[in-house]
Amino acid sequence: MSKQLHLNAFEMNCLGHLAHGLWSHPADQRRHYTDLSFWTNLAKLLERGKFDAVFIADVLGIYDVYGEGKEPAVRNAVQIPANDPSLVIPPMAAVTKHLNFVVTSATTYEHPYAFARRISTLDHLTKGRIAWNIVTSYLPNAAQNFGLDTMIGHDERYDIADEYLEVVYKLWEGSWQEDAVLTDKKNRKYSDPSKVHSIRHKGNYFNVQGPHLSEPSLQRTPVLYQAGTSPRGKVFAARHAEGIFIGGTDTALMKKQIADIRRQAEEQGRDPAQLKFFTGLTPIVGATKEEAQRKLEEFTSYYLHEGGLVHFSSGSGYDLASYAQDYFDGSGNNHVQSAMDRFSKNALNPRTVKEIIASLSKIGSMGLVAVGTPEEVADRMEQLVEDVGLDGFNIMQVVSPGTLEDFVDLVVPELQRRGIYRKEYQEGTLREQLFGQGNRLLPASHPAASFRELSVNSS
Amino acid sequence: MTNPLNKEVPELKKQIHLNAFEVNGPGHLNDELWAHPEDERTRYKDLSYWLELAQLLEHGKFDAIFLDDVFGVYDPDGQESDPASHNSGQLPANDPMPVIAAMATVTQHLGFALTASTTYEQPFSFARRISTLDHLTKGRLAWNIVTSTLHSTANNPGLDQPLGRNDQHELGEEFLKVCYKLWELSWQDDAVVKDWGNRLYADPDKVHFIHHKGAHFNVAGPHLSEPSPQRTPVLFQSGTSTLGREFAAKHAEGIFIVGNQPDTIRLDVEEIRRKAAAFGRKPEHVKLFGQLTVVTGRTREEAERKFVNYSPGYYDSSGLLIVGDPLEVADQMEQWIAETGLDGFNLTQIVSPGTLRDFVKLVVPELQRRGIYRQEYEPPYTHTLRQRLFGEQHGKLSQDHPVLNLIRRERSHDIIHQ
Repeated sequence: MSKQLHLNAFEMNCLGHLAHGLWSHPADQRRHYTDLSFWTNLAKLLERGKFDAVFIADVLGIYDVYGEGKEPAVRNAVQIPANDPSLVIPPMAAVTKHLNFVVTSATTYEHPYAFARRISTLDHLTKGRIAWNIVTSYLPNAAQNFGLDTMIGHDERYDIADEYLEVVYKLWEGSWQEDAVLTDKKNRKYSDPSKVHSIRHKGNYFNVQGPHLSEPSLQRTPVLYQAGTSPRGKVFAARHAEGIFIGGTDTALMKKQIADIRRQAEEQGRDPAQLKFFTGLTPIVGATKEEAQRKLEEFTSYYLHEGGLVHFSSGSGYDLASYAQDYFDGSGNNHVQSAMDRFSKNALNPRTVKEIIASLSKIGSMGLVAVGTPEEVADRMEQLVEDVGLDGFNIMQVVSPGTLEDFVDLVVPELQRRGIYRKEYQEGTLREQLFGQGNRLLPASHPAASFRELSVNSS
Repeated sequence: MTNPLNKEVPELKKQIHLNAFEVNGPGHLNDELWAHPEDERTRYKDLSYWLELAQLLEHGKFDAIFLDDVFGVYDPDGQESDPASHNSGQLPANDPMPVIAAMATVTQHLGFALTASTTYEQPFSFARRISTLDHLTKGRLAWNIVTSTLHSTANNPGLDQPLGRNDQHELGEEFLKVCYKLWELSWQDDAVVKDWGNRLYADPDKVHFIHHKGAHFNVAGPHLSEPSPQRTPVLFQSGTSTLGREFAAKHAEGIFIVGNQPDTIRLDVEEIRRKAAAFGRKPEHVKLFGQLTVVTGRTREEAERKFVNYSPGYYDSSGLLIVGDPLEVADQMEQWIAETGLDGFNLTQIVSPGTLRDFVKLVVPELQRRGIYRQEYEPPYTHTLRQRLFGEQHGKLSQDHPVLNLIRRERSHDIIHQ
């Protein structure tokens, strides 16, 4: 059997996610993002298309780097307004059986204890269909929403994240033993107290007593996703992540980064097959190549260039409204280091700032774009998987849910015909869908597994 | 009120408000509730438990489901002890928020009161979660404000000792102030323009930073959520301590009084209404709820048989209790409403959802027959929870809400001095 593709729909609980301005397109339904039906319809569509998951991004602040103010972000609706990502999951779970949910949450500003319970609750209610996209947050305004004047330094954010993960591993993996829950009605014993443990974590950033308030959910630790390919980010990904999102448009660079992270994971004693790599892809599909091209042009007429500049400026930390040099100097800053390095020191053929600004006027400038017939889009996807070593894609939308409807109706059958994409879901949790039956829990080679010993060492 | 048909308008009787008291865990109020053979609480991890419950309550025309929460294990003296999990005793306890979002998908009217602490959360992200739920439910959300006291709770979020009660309330006040600023001030009423032709969704001049700086929190804003139907959710509080009552009288629109002595409840009700008036609020802008357990059957004998079957150990005696046939239950409820000045009850369950199923089937029709409980939810269903409790014109926090006035003054001060 050929390598099987994994597909996530890239989403965010907001009006304007990636295709800036397309929310004003008459066919776009994102204006209904506050309605439950927007989310339940989306979930049903994705389950019909046998998608692995809906991948929900999030931010904790406004994009105020471009032009040093909030106005451009609000004017272009660049990820503001933006609601909480976790609360649309239960409604979507209520209308689906197999579709999974990747929720983004940052480790930098909030306490791990309440977060761990929120995730366990979702994993219970969905019967093991939850993944967590671990981010360290990169917006200066986010820091200011949580009591800080400036952002915590890039590498220290990862140090905090490492300890945050240690805390949640202890809660998810160590606090309740496998046989702690008895549900013994006759003897009125719900659980065995000798098998439920305080975690007594004391660290540099967090003190957490425990025990975990939630009994173990099917996956205990949700499937762990991560993005970010800075040197420190790669170390983190190689240690923790099961799904890794590699952004950008430079496929040669992607290939290098994937190989690098797999190697680092192996060096840490993990099975490199336990890491799946994803990149962003915007599909624009037509019955003919010309029709697809016409669609792209029509969509482009709705695109707000300034929205692209706002998005890029906060991601990279360079204010494109005032940046005066010909090339990005690549000097370190506290934003998304990989987003910046991609255009400077890591770029195999560095582009000028002017060229980058021009490129941001286009649909899908934040990732790969495939324009053409269903066969051509499928060809491109197959080729990317083969050449770059990818395992799947986060499908980015231009018009919601039109982009996904076209993809499900036209491209999915073609991928299925080629035998590279599931025709039916397998039973089981998300981790089992990704790594096969019997992989409900994290493998013993994952660092989280070491905290299962908590019960033996304490109590 | 004018009456175009010039008919005699019957005097409208005081309407009873009803919430179902729940928690996202197997045990609530009593350690062993879940263990009764007829109890279904062990299904709390299944979406279907919550979806069925929500449909039952909407069928019974309940105002809301009131979700309790705990934020740590009961360990009040701070002693090292085994987690209080032997008989369940509120452990495990899952997060109440996610089940609200799910229940909203199968109901149109039922309200949702969420319990959350001001002591251990960050107001910025909390305020957005609340706005998100108020959006998704189309304005059916209430927040039961708690300042935590559990020692193990203090350990969990990284505090070595729990805050003293004064500190908890001071922190609670500031937490609320940040939330009010985010919910009420960050986005003006006319900020969202939805001008598709000009490709303008919101007017940037009408979306504001809040620049809150205080003893406990610094929060820049703006609020990431656009205004939800109610902006601020309906505010509930359980006012037991003196400080708690002060806090409740100032902020709360719904107050939950736990007690099993009608005389004491009446004194509490009077005191809270007096204190609310002292803050410049109309007494009718606060609704007061007692805790009530009803065991009913088609006959008194059947009800008593059930009660004997539940005892001992299955019921909690901290609230009011009625055991009887539907007429007796309705009589007693009416009498207690008249005696105590309460506006309604939080109904607890002995077996879940059997207790509520009995109540909806047997008692609700009797209350409706007496004209003291709604026959239907008032159309249109786009009414928010606040409008259902306080009337059509009360979509947002009432103009006499003291904190709202306070932050409005701060806002105009900021604008003048910017």
